[in-house]
Amino acid sequence: MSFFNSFKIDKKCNSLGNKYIIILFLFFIKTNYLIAQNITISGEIHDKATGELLSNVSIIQNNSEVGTISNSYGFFSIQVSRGKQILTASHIGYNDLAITISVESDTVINFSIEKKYFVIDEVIIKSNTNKNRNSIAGLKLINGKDLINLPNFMGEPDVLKFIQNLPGINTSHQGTTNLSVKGGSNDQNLIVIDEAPIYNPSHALNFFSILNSDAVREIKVVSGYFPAKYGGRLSSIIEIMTREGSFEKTEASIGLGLISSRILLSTPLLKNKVAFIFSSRVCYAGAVLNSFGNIGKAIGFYSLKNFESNKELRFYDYSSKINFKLTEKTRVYLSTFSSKDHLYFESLINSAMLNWRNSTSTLRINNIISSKMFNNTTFYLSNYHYSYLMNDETINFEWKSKISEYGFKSDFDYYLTANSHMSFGAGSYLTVFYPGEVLPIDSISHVNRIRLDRKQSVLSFLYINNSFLIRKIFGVDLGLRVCDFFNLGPATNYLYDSNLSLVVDSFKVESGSIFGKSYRIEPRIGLTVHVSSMQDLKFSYTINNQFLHYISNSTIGLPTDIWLPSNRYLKPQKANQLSFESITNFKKGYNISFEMYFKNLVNVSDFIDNSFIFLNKYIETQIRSGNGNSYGFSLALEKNYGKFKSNCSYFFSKTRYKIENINLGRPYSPSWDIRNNFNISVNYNLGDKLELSSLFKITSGGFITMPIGFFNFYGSTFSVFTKRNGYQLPNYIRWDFQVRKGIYSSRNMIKGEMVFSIINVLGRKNVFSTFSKQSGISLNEIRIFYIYLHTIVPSFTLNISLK
Amino acid sequence: MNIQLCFKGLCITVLPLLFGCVEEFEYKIPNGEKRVCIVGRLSVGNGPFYIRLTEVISKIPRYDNDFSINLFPAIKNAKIFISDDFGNTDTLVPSIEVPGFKYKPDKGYYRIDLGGNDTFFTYDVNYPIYEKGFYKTKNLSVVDNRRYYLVVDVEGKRYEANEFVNSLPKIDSVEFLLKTSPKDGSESYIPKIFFTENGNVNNFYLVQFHDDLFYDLYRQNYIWEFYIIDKRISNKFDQGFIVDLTKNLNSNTKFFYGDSIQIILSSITPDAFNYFSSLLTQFDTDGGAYSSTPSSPPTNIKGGALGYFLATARAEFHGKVE
Repeated sequence: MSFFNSFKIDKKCNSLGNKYIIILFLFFIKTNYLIAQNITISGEIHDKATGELLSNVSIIQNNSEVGTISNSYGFFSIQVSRGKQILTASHIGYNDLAITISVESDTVINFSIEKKYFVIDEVIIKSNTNKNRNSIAGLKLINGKDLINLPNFMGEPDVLKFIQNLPGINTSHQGTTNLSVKGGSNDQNLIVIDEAPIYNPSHALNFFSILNSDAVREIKVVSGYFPAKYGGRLSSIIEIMTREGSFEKTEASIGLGLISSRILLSTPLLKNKVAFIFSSRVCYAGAVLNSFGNIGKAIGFYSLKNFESNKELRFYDYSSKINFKLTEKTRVYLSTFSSKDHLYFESLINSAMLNWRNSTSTLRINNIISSKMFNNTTFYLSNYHYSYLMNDETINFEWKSKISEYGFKSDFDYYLTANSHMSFGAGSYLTVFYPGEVLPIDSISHVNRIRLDRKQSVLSFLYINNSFLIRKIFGVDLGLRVCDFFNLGPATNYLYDSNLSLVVDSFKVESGSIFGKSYRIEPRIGLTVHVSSMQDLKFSYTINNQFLHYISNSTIGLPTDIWLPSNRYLKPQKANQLSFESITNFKKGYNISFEMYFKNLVNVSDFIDNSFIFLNKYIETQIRSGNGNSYGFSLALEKNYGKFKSNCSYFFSKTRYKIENINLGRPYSPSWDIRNNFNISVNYNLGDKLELSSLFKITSGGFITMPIGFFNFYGSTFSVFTKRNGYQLPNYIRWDFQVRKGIYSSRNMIKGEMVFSIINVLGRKNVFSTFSKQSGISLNEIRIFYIYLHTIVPSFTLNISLK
Repeated sequence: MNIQLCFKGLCITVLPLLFGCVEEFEYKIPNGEKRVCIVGRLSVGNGPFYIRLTEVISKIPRYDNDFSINLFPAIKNAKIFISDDFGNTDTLVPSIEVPGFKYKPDKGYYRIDLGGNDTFFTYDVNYPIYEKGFYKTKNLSVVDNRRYYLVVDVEGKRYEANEFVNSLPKIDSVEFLLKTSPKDGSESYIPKIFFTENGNVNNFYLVQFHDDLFYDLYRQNYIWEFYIIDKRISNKFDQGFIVDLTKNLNSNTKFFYGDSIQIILSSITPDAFNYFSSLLTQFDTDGGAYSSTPSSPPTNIKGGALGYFLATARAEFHGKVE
């Protein structure tokens, strides 16, 4: 069999695919049968103050249980009967808006709803809110402004750290932005900003998220039922939409901080036609650390006696968007995002100097084709450059790598009937991987110039998804996503022996030639049972494939880790996930949710012992693939409304991998397998613009590999390790506290707020990581240490707005 | 238009990052089965050659002013055989002699320096070295381009290893580069080796700075004097190879002008390279969050023992730093 046929088409999958197509055909018949001769009301929903479009706003027809929600681009379409109708638009954090209209034919109405500021009204939850009826299993929506509601590390609201507190989501290492969603690894989450993927969503070695929270409009976390629109990763899709800018008025803000400063400018360039928004953040923590370190050293702090002011830690990010309203039905968005990090921190990264940079550009065209159909077409490119500089006396070189992705997709929303919504679309993207290159820094460097061949892959997809209600009790979501993947020449391919240890042959593939072709069919099924006006039960089954492989053998991940496409040996990873969710609403804004999941993982990979990945063109010899599974449940009690809001959740999960030749072929826990996670957060509005919030968190420790013995080899002691990740770290416990106080002058000329927070009130030294090392006294001696990130961290923020 | 001014963060927010956030970890090693460490090396030439057998310990080793030779219990009463492709076999016997040491009943063991003189220090008057797990060959001679086989029987268990002896590389010359410390401006020298490959071309080389295997057992070590060269990464033969004292825990351990120096260069197998690479990695890769998952070095000894059975041809340089 030639290499070009290396990917066998999954016959089982193919036969299943035929079944799916039959099912799909049947439900199309069903939904077409349901189409009735109603009148369509469609339009857009805006924020009244800024004019920006709002997604996920509920539109309910008051005299019936008919409702819809605005899509990601602020468009809605609802079918009503003729005559006088009352439509109510409601959105969390906004005042409800009810409009009474008399309709005789298809009508366009645009809603403008108003934000609630400080005053938090008691809201009595109406039974069977549209929010639950239309939402899918495992979907979590976060408004950008919610990020400040929890205490934040060093006063910096953080998108990914906020997400870590949601039920079903953990982090492999507390303090970092890494996410483990339903037992998955960090690389199994696709993070997109304005529809362009981000390959490293963190600043400063994963301590801060990449995006300035000022620029965030909304975050959507998809992890249960995956609508067919979403794919490409096994665990979750995290969609971050940035603000769009106002057509109405100019807004500017400048934030000056001790370790970072930020700016935001939003202005109409052409009133009601063109809006522009720009936001940026600059961090100069390294310079601040050096200054304070020097001061502490001069004062005589014992622990700073050996302080060296050579730390370099700085980053910036910016996002910009131009929003053209070409016609009432057509909008064009041009957005860019860029971030850059520079880091030299001797104690963390062995004296190497790290640089990494993300940049994305997105061109998006929104078109209201008819009152029932909406289209969004996106073209994007995403680049991730990363390098490190080793400037040793003997080996001075620069290592650099890069990944680029060029893609497009077109998504359609079609509102068939009052209770049926279809979405379909297609897309394709080319990913170019530059696995690594070493360049000597100067002429006396004793390092050869080495460059690994670039790799290219193309993934195309086609999807259709239909959501409909049956007898107002059963909400059904059916989706089908078909992925076609291939590698693209030029390439040099290696064939290995059966043990994947020796190269037995190699051959070149010409530029433009296709090889390693494979396709996957991903059915998605979701069923929501509206048990009563208070309770919904949701079931879902999804299949996801991931054609990208994250090559990192560090437990947290470094900016220098690399990504590779699937090939003959690195087969696409696959997850079959079953999930169940129960949501019960009670009066006064209480709800209880219970969610459980089981996930079967195929072709997950890990490194062999003593792997050598640095510039290894035979990287496949260092990786083994196998299977895994993950299961768990979460229980959450939430109070969303009123002066007192609270969220209490417990999440249990267990993830095991079983890979031949790793851990002697026995099952083991990956490092991110956090078994127990308990969170409780409260937010209490005391009136007079005073708000208290607190977060208590306790989780099990992650799993690491620790020595189980020591031996001597020519005068130095070395460690013996056996089980992969055989040691569980101690529990992580943290309690945070925050006070926000609104301030204003007598004439309202000055408005703002003071925020005081204490992170880790208990001062607990939570274990971030452990390491063992030959001691500085003798090579015979081994010492085992642990790192904790911080004890108590108080911070103070003062925001002042001048009118 | 709103203008927003934000003054954020007090100085106390950054202070925690300045203080050392590293403390010793209370870690109790679970009891495991007894394991054996086998360390041995054959070199082209006549013996005797030495193999040392010790136990793997399951407590965290502390220096406590004791030499490493006493930290690891010796394994006695082992049967050890070494043979080659041509059927030559030697049975090793417990050893009282080790290269680099001399023994006198009243002095115990004492070192011989590079000039052939007795050193000042003496060791272990009452505890002969053969109680430290040493065994030596009786009549084995080693030649290059030949494979050697090791068999060790201990307490009913058998451990086996084999290793191929590559051709001898030739050291053409050694230069010394002046190195100035960026911290204190002190000057020291780094050797730079010019060598040519001989016979079968090999990609991997081992450099060491002392002749005897067990020199480091009797001192407080700051430095592990091995260095590996991977020709795949650096193959500028005409420019020479810099070999630094890479795993140096003490900045005072350097080569200075006038120092006597011995450099031993060996062509090693890929397995041996991987083994030494793994050991060197343990110095840098500590298993922390930003390091790779640690693992035991990939020994060539089958049967569950640790250590390595090395067999090489060695080119040597003796001289002074000039």
